[in-house]
Amino acid sequence: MIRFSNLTISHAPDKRLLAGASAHIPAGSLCALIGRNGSGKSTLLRTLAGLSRPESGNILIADTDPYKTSPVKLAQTIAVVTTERIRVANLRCRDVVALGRAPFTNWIGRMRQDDIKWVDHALGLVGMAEFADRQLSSLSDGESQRIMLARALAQDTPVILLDEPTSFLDIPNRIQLINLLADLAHNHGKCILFSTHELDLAISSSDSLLLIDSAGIIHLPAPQMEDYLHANAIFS
Amino acid sequence: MSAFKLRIVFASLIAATLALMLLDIAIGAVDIPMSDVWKSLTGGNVDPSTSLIVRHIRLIKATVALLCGMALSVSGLQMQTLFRNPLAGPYVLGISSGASLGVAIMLLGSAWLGISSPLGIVTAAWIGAASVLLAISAVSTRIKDIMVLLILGIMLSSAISAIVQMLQYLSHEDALKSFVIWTMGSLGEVTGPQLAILAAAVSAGLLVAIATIKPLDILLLGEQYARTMGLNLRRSRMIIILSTTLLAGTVTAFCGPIGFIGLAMPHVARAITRRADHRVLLPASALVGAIVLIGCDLVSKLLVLPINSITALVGIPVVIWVVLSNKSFSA
Repeated sequence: MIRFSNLTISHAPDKRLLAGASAHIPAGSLCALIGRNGSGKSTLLRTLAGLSRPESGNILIADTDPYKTSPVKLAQTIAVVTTERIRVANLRCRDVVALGRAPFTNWIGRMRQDDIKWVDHALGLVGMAEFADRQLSSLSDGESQRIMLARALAQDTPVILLDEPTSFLDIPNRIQLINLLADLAHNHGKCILFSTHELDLAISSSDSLLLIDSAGIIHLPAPQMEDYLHANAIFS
Repeated sequence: MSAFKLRIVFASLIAATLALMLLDIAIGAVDIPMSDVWKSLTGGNVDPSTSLIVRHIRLIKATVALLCGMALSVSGLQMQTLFRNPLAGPYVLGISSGASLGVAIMLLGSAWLGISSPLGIVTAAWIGAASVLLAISAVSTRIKDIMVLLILGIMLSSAISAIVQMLQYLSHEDALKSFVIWTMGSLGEVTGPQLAILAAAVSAGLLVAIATIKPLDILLLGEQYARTMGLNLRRSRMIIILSTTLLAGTVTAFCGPIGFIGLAMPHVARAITRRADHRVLLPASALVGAIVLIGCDLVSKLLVLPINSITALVGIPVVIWVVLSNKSFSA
C-alpha cells in the first residue's frame, strides 16, 4: 500500500537524511516510524504525503505516485494528521470533520447526504459523536487529536499518515489513540504509518516498525524490531 | 447556533440594512418629509428639486455606503483567513498605500505634469491599487510561507508611504489639502455614471468571493493541512487576492481609504453568528459591513465629520475587544 524504493531525501545539498531507502507497508497494517530527533521522520512523512519532493527514488501510495497526480486525487489517496493544534474561534467539530470531505465536494463545498453520513461515521469511529456540535477550541488535546483523526477518516483514503500523534497526550490518551489506530488498520483495512517516540507502545501495538538511524532505514515486524533494538543497544 | 436561529439572524440583518438605507436617504442637510422621500423613490408627484436631492444625491450615497461596506468587510474576512491573523484587513497587502500613491502622483504631481481632471483621481487610485496587488500576486505564486507575503505587503506599504510623504513634502499647499482630504475618505464624491462602474466592480468581486468560500474554509486548518486536503494553494491565493483587489481596490479608488470596516466587522459577524465557516460568515460579514458603514454615513452627515474618523471610532473598540478576548494575545 505504501511502497518506496531507492528513496533519497536531503535537507540541503550537504545534509542527506536518507539514501537509497526502500520499504513496503501492506494494507490493513499499522506501522510505527521511529528514530532520534532530527533523523528525518517528519521529512519522510512529508515526502510520502506529496508535500516535499525527494531528491530521487520512487514512491507508490496505493498505486499512485504522489508527485504525478492531481491535488484532489492525492487527497483521496492519503490523509495526513499533524501535531499542529488548530485554534480557530467558533469552529465546530462537525465543521472540521466535514472539511475532510473537501476532495469530494463541488466548487462551493456543498455537502451531499452521503458526505454528511461519512462525517457522522468518522465521528463515531473515533468515539466523538457526542462532540459534533462542540467547539474545537473547547476540547482537550486528546479530544482535539481525535477530531483531527476523524477528519482524516472522513477523507476516506486507503492510507493515513500521522506525525507524532501522541506527543501532547497523557498516557491513557496515548494508549487509547494507538489502540484506535490499530483497530482502524486491522478492522477497516487502512494502511497507517505514524511517527512516535513511544517505543514500548509502538512495539506492543503495531504490526511493524520502521527505524531511521545512521545505517539508513530498517523495516521489521514488531517482535524482530524489539530484538534488533536490544541487540544494537538503540534507545536502551 | 441552529439553522433556524441563523435564518432569523440573517433576516434581521437584511431588515436592518434596508431600514438604515431608508433612514440614510431620509436624513440630510435639507429637511424632506418622509412622504416626499418615498414619493421621490417610487416616482410619485413631488417637487423636482426634492426628487433630485433624494434620487441623485442621497440614494447614490446610500448605495455607495451599502456597496463599500459589503466590499470592505468581505475583503477583510478574506485577508484574516488567508493570513490566519485576526488583525489583518483589506489594506494589509498594500492596496490603500498603492491607491494613495496613485492619487498623490495625480494631485501632487499634477502641478509639474500640468494635468488635472476629476475622474483622474479615481483612475489614478485604481492604477495604484491594482499595480501593488499585481506585484503582490506575482510574488505570491513563488512564496511558500504565507507570513512572508504578509511581511512583504507591510514593507511594500511602508515604502510606498515613504514615497508619498516625499511627494507631500515637495508639493504646494492646495494640492496637499486635496490629498489630505482624500485620505479622510468620502462616500459622497461618486457620481451616477461612476456608481455604475463601482457597482459592477464590487458585484464582480462579490461573485468571485463566493468561489473563495471553500478554499477559505479549508485554509482555516492552515496551509499544511490545506495541501493534504486537495487544495491548490497557489490558485486559491490568486482567486482570493483577485477578489480582494476588485472589492477593496475599487472602494479605495472611489472613496479613499476607509478604515476599520474591513478589519473590525468580520469579528462582529463572528460574534453574532458564532460560526467559523465562510458559507455563513461571508454573507454575514457583508451585511454587518453594510449596516455599519451606512450607520457611519448617517452619523457623519449629522455631525458633519469625515467618514474615516467615524469608522475609526466605531471600529477601534471592536478591535480592542477582539485583542483582549483572544487568549493567545493576552498575557
